Amino acid sequence: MGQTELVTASVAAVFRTYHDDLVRLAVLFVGDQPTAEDVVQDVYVKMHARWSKLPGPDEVLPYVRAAVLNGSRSVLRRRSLAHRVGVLQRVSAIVPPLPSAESEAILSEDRRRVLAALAGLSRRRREVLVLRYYLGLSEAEIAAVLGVSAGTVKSTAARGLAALARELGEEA
Amino acid sequence: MTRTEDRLADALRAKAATVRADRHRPLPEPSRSRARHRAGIWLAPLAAATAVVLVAVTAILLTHLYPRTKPSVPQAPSPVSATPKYYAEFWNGGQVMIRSTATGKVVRWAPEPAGVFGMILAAGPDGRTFYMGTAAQRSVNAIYSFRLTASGAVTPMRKIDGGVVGSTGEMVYGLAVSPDGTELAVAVAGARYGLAQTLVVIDLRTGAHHVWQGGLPLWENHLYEGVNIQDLSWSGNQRVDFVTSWCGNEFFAYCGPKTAQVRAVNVASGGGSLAASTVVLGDLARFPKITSMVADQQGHLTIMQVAGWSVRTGTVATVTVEQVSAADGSVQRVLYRRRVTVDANLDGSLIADPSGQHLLLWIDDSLHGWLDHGVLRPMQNGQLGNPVW
Repeated sequence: MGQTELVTASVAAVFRTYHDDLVRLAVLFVGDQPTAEDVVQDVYVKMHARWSKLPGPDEVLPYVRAAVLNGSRSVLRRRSLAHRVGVLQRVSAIVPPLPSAESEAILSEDRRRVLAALAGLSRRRREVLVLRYYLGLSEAEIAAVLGVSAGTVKSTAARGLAALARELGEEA
Repeated sequence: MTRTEDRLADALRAKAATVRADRHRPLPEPSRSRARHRAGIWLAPLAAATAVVLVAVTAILLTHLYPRTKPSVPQAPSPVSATPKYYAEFWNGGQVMIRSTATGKVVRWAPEPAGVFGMILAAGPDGRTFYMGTAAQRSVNAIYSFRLTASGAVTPMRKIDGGVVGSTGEMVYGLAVSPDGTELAVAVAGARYGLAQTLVVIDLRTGAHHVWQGGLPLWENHLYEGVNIQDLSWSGNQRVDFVTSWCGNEFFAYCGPKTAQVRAVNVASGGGSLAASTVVLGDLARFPKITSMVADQQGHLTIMQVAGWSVRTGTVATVTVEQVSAADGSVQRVLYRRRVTVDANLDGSLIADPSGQHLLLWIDDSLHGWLDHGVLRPMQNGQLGNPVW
């Protein structure tokens, strides 16, 4: 017997522990819960297929977060492509569902402004800021998730914040 | 924090809080067969066309390779040298399939008992009795058996006497039936990431257990120190040989450059420590990565080893199946060698039929079939859910 089956339960345990957190993280990138759950489920399935690439226990969470990030990027790429070729209205599967009235009610006008400004940033800046200000990761941890240097994280965060401040009419 | 940072953190928290955990869809049930990576949608027509061509070519080849016998019901295994007509493997829907080796057609189903999640199969020396190990994540960690009757029917699965092994969260990781069919060797893996570190030999007549414990749990130590069981086989009615993994299958980033070993325990000793087992092949530069092993009663070990592959860097590996002497480790015959592309998963096995002359061979999606005088005969329609014969 190979190890795939053995790891199946362990991977499931990882996702049982972090599922909610991962969906919330994905929501910040893709914007809605159903798509975010799709992203996390895809990561879950892929982890089963690629269990032997998983790092040690201390590194599993950054690994999974990076996978969620990559999954979110794929969704955004598909949306972008659909917009570009003008098929958005016909491809319901890749259209971000409208936010529910309930979730909209939770977000104040100011928060919506901030999130809209965030959405206007480049992908890299957006990712760095979410990892920094939602997950509270350190520069080194963000670097590990994104696969870049800590210096890149630092400069990207600074530029992202400055751009955000400009968009919101503030001084960063 | 600046005001921008405050507003950003607040907005992100609020947005994340819109996620309703109580509305989460359940995670999908993982597949027990080799996971396949989803190809792009554009590949579908190409794959379909390729499949049509392959089916046609395969049908023509099979027409020449096999007599036009209709695969009806399983019959008694043919004497020694005949390739087994049937093999068993898991289907994802909670059943075991009995399939025709020649055509891959499912000729019988063996339903798993309700609530049981089968993980591994082993065939007895009669070629008719099968054993199934389960995972305890859903149920008691137990061994079930079923038989193909002379008329070709499948008996219901039943838990064998003494068939409860390990505890909740552990898994039956390896199974091997003794040559005389009276004992079953079971490798049990711990609940966390790690390899099997417990060997249980069950006397199938009485249900009595003999237990050998492995080394320290991998998780706690981060360093590979214990003796574990990557694969196991019987080299006699009183001796179980097993492969200890090279470095925990590289699953852990912390493990050292330890090479594989083949070790053996004497069942008559009644139990003890795996660390005290006899080293049959040990720390040999020629056999750094043994993924699977079949022992026979004539002092031969047939091993599958992989070279040139690393989970970190490599995707192309050379797989070699060779027969070596258990006495001195000398290579007696190379049965098969091939370079294969391995995706992320390096997961494979050799499974001998009751005669010991025919070997099932599979590695992930890259390589699967049975060895026929140095030629790999591909499995037809195989799901590769841990096939045995």
